[in-house]
Amino acid sequence: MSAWLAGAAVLVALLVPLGLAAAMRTPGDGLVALQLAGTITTVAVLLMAVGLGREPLGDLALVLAVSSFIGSLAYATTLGRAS
Amino acid sequence: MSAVLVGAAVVLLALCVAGVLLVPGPMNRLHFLGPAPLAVLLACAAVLVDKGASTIGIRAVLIALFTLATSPVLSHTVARALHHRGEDDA
Repeated sequence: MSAWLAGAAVLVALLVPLGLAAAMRTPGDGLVALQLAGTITTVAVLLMAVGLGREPLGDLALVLAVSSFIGSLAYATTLGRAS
Repeated sequence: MSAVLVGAAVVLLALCVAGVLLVPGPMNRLHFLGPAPLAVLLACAAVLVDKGASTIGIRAVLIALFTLATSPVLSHTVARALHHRGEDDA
């Protein structure tokens, strides 16, 4: 296994505790975990694209970075207004 | 060289996750999202070192630039939402 895929595997494993924290803690904590999970997922997909030699996955990482930002922004705005 | 950069990025993100999980209070946890764009920068630098100015290299540069530009905006928005919810006192 190359360093790229090993790094991607570690990053995917890091998503599990973040998901648990988002599910079991307050919505504010979930929002913080969501923001970090978006960044981690973007890097993981980018590492997978290089490790697997599939460059189209790089496009997916770019789209994921944008959509993760928009989703977190919408969630934060909604959460702030709902209080 | 690229393996070192990838390792540094993964370790930095793992430290961010540890901070978010272990530190009490959402506003304190938010501080541990600060180094995350640096980790993205390290990973994208690793791609550039390994692949050069190829298609995936250009994608990596775009991802790094976008993350560096938007992460402070998102952190500010999250902090404001936490403040409105009264979760900023921990």
